[in-house]
Amino acid sequence: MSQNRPRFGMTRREFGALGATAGAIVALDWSLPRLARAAGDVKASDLIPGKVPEMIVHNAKLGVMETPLELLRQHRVTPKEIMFNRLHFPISGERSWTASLEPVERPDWTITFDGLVSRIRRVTVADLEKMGTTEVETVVQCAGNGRAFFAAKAKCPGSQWQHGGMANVTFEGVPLKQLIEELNPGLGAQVRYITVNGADDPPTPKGADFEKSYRIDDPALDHAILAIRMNGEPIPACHGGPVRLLIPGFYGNMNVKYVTRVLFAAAQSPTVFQSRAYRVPLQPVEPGQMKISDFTITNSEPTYAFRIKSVIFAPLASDSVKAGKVTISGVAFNDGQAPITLVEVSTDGGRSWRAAAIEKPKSPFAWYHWSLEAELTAGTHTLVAKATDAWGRSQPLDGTVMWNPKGYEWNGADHVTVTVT
Amino acid sequence: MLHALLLVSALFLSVGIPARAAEIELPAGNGRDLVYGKCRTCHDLQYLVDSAGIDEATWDGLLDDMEGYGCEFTADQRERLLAYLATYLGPTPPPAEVSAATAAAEVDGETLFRDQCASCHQEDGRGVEGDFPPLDGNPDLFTDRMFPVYVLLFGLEGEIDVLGKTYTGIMPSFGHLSDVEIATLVRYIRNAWSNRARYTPALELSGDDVRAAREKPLNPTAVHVYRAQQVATSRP
Ligand code: HEC
Ligand code: HEC
Repeated sequence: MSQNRPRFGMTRREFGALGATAGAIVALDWSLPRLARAAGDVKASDLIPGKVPEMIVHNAKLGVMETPLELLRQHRVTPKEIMFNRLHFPISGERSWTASLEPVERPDWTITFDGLVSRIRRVTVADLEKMGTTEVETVVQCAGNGRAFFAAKAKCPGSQWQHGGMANVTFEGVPLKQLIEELNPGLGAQVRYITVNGADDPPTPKGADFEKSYRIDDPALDHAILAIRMNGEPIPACHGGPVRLLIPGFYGNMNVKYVTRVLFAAAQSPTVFQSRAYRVPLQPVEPGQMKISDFTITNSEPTYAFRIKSVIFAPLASDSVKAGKVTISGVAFNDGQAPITLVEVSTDGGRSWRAAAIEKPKSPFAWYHWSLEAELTAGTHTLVAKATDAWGRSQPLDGTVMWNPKGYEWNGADHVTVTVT
Repeated sequence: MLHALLLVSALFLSVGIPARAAEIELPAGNGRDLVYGKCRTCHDLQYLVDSAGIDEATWDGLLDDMEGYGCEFTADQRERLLAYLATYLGPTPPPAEVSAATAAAEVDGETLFRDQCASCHQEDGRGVEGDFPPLDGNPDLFTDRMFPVYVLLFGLEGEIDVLGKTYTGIMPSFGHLSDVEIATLVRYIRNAWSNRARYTPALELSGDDVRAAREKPLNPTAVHVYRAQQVATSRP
């Protein structure tokens, strides 16, 4: 583990600055007395050995953590040691095995294809290994990434993710549609949804199980794979190994980990994780208009496809910037359905804009790198970045217009305030 | 003497063992203990701390959501939970001095158990296989007079074997409970269910015993080592 530190760690100064920004967000509008020994004490590296200690821990019991942008920006393909992590159930007790960056060696791991089918089918990881696989470089992102920024309008409950709940990695696996065709289970005429379940179970008997449903005719499923490798090696346990469903362009909760079952059904799963959680209202709402528990399958939809987004990687508030020519750079991505054609950057808080140079990625689902050289004078500047794609989809200048009760799918134009000396 | 030695070695072992759990302290106030008892089963309290500042209607909706996820509470418990959350983790929490001044009412062991322990160990004390060890029929409650007190005061972390099953969980500390409450709870779990048959007067505890135990420099992993020693001596 210690070998990884110099490669992935950051300098003391960067780390200090980071703490200051994270603290500032929490202390924004209230102060709680004596929140002794909160998360700051628990190191990601102690929760999941191999993760770097600089990760920002959001929930120790679940191993939830995000990557500081100071680390994320150092790699084209995000290494597992700094990749954000999100699990729904405790990483202790029955599920202690998920608290690991090591691969899960389980060739006998079995996935059952059943439901409204004429023939129940089973495949093992060993079977998948023998089939033709494809590899895709793709952004993975938590649906709650950026939730902290909604607090400018009204705070949303839950982990206050900043930008680090995302990564750009490669996943390799067997295309789902092709696999279903080969298995030929004989789908019933009423099949409208696929529901995917994993081996992670809640810790109490009454606990809700986690599973996700997708419309079977959703074109995004054409790119879905049952992934067995991430960044060229078997998927680490905490990231969903031995088998994870990966739907490029979909929010992270849709990429079910530890897949054990693919169910063909007429309706979506009744689990609260599908019917009430991870949803955004169909109509825009203002704070107070809709109760957090009022989500139904008719007034809202699941956090499926990524909204278009750009994030400034440099300079960050923690960087020291010298007056003169400064390279402003970052990444942009969307759901992969249409190429990103424009990234506009402002150095005066959004009054004037210039187009940045965009680097086309290998895969439509990976993040696009962009950069722009600008002349910055001494003083304080607010940098803003905004992406647009070929379908004209773009980011709202004020991201809080997309406020929603659970704080999902933040995609406001990114704002970074830097002090130039 | 042997006792003291074991404790010392336990402490040495625990030095440098990193924290795998966040022991998060919430602002003192009526109902806080119930939150500690009900809201640490499926995730830790950072979700609550990170949500601090949301209004009562949102906390109210969140409790419905938690019920959907499998959190169990009676109507009375729900009211107490909401009152605490909306006040102390609401938009305008009272200043610290005011919130600190709350007296714990006299309560019986069964109510305490329902509020503090049942969410993990279950009402019937049978636990959940692989996650929360059973307390009903658990011989470890009887190996040593003080062991359960240490578990409650300091927590317990490390692999344990209970009635042939392995547990690798983390039992959080309940040191926020009063001395009398802890003594009452330990008496209750040793007398409840099928445990009653094993109870002997030699196991009797008072609040003073608990107060004295608070001074021990233990932590969850040290209690784990202490437990191993007790199990080794009681089951030769
Ligand atoms: C039976 C399990 C369980 C119990 C007990 C439980 N929760 Fe939760 N809680 C969850 C789950 C599951 C989530 C969402 C996790 C996810 O999205 O994966 C959650 C999330 C949360 C969140 C973040 C916001 C959100 O909706 O995601 C808050 C705040 C929260 N819980 C508060 C509480 C409080 C207060 C209590 C005690 C009254 C409690 N929880 C008890 C299961 C539980
Ligand atoms: C958040 C869940 C949780 C709650 C609430 C909880 N416990 Fe535990 N308890 C555990 C876990 C997990 C273990 C096993 C720890 C381990 O594996 O090292 C445990 C272990 C114990 C043990 C030791 C058992 C043995 O065989 O060594 C005792 C005694 C105990 N708990 C009593 C209580 C009492 C009394 C309460 C109420 C005040 C309580 N617990 C509340 C999770 C919990």
